[in-house]
Amino acid sequence: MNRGSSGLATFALVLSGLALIISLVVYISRPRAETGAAGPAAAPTTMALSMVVATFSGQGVFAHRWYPTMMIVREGDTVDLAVANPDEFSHQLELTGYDQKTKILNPGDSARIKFVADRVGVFAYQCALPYDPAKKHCTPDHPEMRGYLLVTAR
Amino acid sequence: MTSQTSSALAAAVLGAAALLFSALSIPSALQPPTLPPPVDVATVDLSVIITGVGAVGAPKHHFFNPSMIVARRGDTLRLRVMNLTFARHGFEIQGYGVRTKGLPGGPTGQETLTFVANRGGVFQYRCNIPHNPKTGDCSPDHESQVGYLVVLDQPR
Repeated sequence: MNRGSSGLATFALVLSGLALIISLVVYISRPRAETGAAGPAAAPTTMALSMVVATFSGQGVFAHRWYPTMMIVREGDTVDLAVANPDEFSHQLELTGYDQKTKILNPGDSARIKFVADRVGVFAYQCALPYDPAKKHCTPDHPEMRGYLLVTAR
Repeated sequence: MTSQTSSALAAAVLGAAALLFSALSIPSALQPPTLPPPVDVATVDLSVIITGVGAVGAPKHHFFNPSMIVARRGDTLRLRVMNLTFARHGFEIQGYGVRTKGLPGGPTGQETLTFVANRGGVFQYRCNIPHNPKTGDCSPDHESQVGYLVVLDQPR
């Protein structure tokens, strides 16, 4: 009787010790949201790119777009754009959220925009020169000349 | 007697600790990793062009402009897909359930897709009409007419 009770207590001890180990393992390895602290952040860099007015045509459609149409940098990176207009109409690049704007780019003109991407978010860039066929300013698809700069948080 | 009591006491303490840790791990073990709600959302309003390049007389290489779209989880995407080629093409983002109908080339071949990028990851977008020369569907380079949607999870 006394021996049996002692054996039962030892069995309970082993069992609960096992339960403790299992639950500790589960508790420690439970899924957690990313903390983002994966390591030291890389040093800021400069993204120097050529930005052009690209023309796509076919089936009676003439499309003008800023190319590249999508750019992504990290907060603190420098964006250095050499903007060129090889089109036969004038255009003007404007990045509204960063107050950046080139001069009016007549056919063959180029300009440079350089700034530090110090604000996180999604920023549209578009043509700032409204369509005016008399002045050869932009083209009927003026509202579609839009691209996006995405700045991610460090 | 004393050994038996202390053994039973240790069992009780360990059992209580096991119960506590198990109870703590139940809610987090049942739920998937919790993603924080998006900090900021924007609308990415883009024109997507289906076009092709190639030397005269040679088969054309078809692609989408832009060939990569980046958004953050929670952003709204409004994509106006436009086909400037001779053949019929389509646009489908695999894993998002977003697709156009078959689009003929020219001003009538346009469709706007509006959806929320509610899942993070890298998703391929491609032409969803198989090449068929008899019906003027797509082109021989159908398999390489692809692009990528990258949806980033926002930190914090």
